[in-house]
Amino acid sequence: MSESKREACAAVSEHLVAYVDDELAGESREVVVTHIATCLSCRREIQSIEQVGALLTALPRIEPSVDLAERLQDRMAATSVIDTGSARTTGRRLPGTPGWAVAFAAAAAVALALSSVLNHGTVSPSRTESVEVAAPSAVSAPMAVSPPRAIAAAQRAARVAVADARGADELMPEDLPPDLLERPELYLRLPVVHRLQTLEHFEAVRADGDQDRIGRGPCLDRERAAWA
Amino acid sequence: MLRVRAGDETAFRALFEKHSRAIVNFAYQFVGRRDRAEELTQDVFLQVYRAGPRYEPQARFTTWLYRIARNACLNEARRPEHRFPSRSLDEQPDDGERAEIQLPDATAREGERTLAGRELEARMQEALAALPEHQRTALLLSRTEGMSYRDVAETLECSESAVKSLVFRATASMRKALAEFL
Repeated sequence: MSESKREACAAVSEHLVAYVDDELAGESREVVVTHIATCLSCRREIQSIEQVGALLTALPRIEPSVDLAERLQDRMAATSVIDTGSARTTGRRLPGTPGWAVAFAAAAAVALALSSVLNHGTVSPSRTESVEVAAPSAVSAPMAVSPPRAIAAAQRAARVAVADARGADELMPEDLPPDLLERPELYLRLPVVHRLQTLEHFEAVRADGDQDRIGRGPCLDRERAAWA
Repeated sequence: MLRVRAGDETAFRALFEKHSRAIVNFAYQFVGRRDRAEELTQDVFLQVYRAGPRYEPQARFTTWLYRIARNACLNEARRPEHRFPSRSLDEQPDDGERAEIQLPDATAREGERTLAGRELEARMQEALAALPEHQRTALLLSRTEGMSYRDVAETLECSESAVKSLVFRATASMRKALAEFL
């Protein structure tokens, strides 16, 4: 190959991919068209570029799982609850997601979050004995909750929340989340939790021995100041 | 998307149904795992949903969508645990729905074609994974998603000439890696 031919090929080479993609216009395109009419090696290069393109196009495509949309809805519901404190505050709900599900997700998430933190030996939950919260603060002296009464109260509160979320006087589904049943006193403190979007608060409370374990007191004030 | 902004949730569902498969496949090329690709797709559509009320049609919806997808994928791909896993030829793909690349050689027996197809696919995945992130994104968007250079440029927030260069270099690397199959 002569030096001038080599130079001509080099000049055209960088345009060949764009030429194949039909993304070359004007003078550059004219140069390429003229050159490849007489250059076998550049035509072979074009062929090779087209093969790579064809192979990429032929790469097997995976089919999304059939429940992908459903899982997205679940995440959106959870996010909506976390972002807003409750689904009803925005009035915006997922298509096909019933209001009671959103309210329930909130209750369950809170109950689970609280129980995961309080499980570190600070609470002695029991279905048969009174639940004692070992908080040293005077505001929250050891609290005895009678399980039957507390559960009934939790059920009433959940029923109200569900009915509210549905915008109707319909009753909630029969089964409450197990954690909610085990720790009704936590659910009863839900208003405290509404604006606590992460577990950081609870971790802070747990680490700070002189604070109320359900979030009242100076610890919460400090966090409010931080948020402000 | 304007309907989504106006609160039409069936419009959001329609957007998801129309684009989710493409986004799953796009993400799959970055993380090489179906489960993570689907999680990333969920992340992408969550962002779309959240951004809905503030959406301004400054670009085509698809370029905006792929911009979100690309950012999510790049963040994910930078995590070392999600580098594309190389697959041995004895190993089956991670799901049964994927078709093998069919080689056109009619003289080869079925088993040989399948093995060669799997080898080619594995080599392609390796070659794609070895590309610099921007080259890979530009190549995938233009080749597998069929975007014009202009749309790719809008997605990557760069110039068309930069896209041209990215696709050129990516193609050159792929040709080199796949030389024995071409």
